[in-house]
Amino acid sequence: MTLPQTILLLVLAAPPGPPAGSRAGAPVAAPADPSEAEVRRRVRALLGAIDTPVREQDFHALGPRGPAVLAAIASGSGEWPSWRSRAAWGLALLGGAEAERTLERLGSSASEPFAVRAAALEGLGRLLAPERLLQAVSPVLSGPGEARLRAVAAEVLSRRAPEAACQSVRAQLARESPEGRLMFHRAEAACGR
Amino acid sequence: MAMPCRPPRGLLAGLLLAALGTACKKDQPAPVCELPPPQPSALATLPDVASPGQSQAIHLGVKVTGEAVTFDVPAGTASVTIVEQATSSAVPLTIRAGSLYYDNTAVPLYVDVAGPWSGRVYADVPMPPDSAFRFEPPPDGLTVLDPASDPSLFVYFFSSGPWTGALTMPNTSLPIPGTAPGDGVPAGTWTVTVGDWAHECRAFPGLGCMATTPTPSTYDLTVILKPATAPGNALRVVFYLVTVRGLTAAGAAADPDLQRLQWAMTQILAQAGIAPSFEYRDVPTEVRARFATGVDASGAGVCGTLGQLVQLAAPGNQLNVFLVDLIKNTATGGFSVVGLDPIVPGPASFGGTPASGVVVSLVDLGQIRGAGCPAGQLAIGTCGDDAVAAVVAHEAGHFLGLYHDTEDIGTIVDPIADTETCFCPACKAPTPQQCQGLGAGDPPIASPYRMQVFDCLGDTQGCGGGDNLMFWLLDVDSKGLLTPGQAAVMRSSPLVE
Repeated sequence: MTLPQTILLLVLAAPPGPPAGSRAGAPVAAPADPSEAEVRRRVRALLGAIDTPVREQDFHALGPRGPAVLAAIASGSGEWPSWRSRAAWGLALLGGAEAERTLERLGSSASEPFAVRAAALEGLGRLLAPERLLQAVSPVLSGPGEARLRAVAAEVLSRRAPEAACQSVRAQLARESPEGRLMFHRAEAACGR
Repeated sequence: MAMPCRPPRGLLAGLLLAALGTACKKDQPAPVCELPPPQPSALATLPDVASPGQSQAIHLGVKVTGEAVTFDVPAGTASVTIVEQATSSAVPLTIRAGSLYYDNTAVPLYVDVAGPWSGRVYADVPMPPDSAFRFEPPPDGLTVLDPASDPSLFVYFFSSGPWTGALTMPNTSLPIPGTAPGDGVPAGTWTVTVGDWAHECRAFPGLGCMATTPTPSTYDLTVILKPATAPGNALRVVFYLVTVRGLTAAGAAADPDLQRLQWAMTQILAQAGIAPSFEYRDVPTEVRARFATGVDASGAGVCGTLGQLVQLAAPGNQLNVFLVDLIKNTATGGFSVVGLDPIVPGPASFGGTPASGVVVSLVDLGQIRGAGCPAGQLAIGTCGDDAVAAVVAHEAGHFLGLYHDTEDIGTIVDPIADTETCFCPACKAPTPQQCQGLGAGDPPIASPYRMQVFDCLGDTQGCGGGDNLMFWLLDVDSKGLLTPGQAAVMRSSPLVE
């Protein structure tokens, strides 16, 4: 549901409490280019939520300075992995060359925590065209390390580039341990058994 | 927490929250799946009589929405909890409002008392009532939801979730009339009118919503009476290790990060006079593997992976906490939350339902930033173990009946009188970003201001609660504080015994 639709519904339905005023109208847009300090302030509220989901438009409202601030947090090893993974996802929502570079680096780096790499891989799935996605994520699918990370790569590829990737996904699945194979259940379902 | 998805009219705030992306509205009906049959309470259930000081369950059987059912509440009762569990696949999981679908939430329509004092203590239509809204700043500012300001709101409900629902009374700071000193509720004959939102849509056409089935829903009804003499400070916490980090139940007690988490949780809950005990359970390999790439928090409701995971909660009067490696949303690919509670409050003492526990991410366990984990000092802002403990305690707070003291948009606060409020119009930082009011006359804001911890630390008079456990956000200044009013609500839960 979009906000205007909601407000329309709210207007159609009698409002509770104080009587409706006459101030409602077109959605009020945030300033298009908030200062860097303002962007940093807003980002804290986007990365620290406990159980309240963050909306995509809140990331877009960060304006042109948003990607640099998010990239710095996503890359910062001194920050919580939960914040870094959310920053990585925010980057994926905003897109652009800096976002692609940062997410490719994070997704392929063996030294990064699982949550950060998983968010980066999911973000690449959103950003890259199938051919480039295959190039960027396939090394993770067949790489060393944790089976769950290979399973995330398989999920991303099977969802975003199934025609090109499912053969590789099935081949990797055959190489996994019995427990590792179980982690591939979403990719397996997406590719068809 | 599960934020409310409410049909329009009287339920405006939930609809607005839905639009803000924080509620469970959907553009198509929820998927259908096989859901569990009604589960038994782990408490002594009549004809088995509870020991003195222990909570007593009364199983009232299968009832139809709209049906009025009575039970007696003796003097000396601290709280009454009503649990509704859907009994058949004919109970719809969604209702429809316009082109959108909302969870068909299981909640009583009315609760009435007849005795030395007689009257209605709860009505779900409208909830929140009109009188819980006001202007901030008065007299003509933005419309805000301030239930503690309503002098007639004894019992409050602002959550949503289908199939299984619970309501514990009291859950506000306002005493229910007729309540004797030392008790939590009035004695007398209580009548609950069994309800869900599908029934409300049929019974109140003015709500503007539609039930997706023509037949009334059937719910298995249980009432839990908690005596005022209950010792009331023990909380059994069961952690389910849905993780591939190598943690096992056998080794968990010796894990330094989990030891620190337990210590931090104990410190936080001690403010409410609650003493938690901890135990760990392994889950089958296939369950661990199934959720290894993340628990999916997308909007599949009780038929989604979240609902399926929580159904694994074992029977017992315990807080079931599923510790997972990652929470994500495959519908959007998003990674935005670290905790989840299906509904407020949770169905205390019932295992095996889609609402029988909470889910918490272990992503930050063992991590530090800045000053790290100082010995003997709670450090939610710098110690990952303490931060995860704060999330567990936060979700426990929801399960025990607490709402966010201030919601993200800063125009909705909780029904507890002694939690500090932090209304956006009065407290937000000086920034061009605007506050989102709840009135039809308030303009929709494309990206509304979201309250920060530092906005709500009391630097401005009337702007507090940012360091409270139930603030919507964690940041460096989070302290996990609880007030006596919040403690009273938590201790009303049958889980605390």
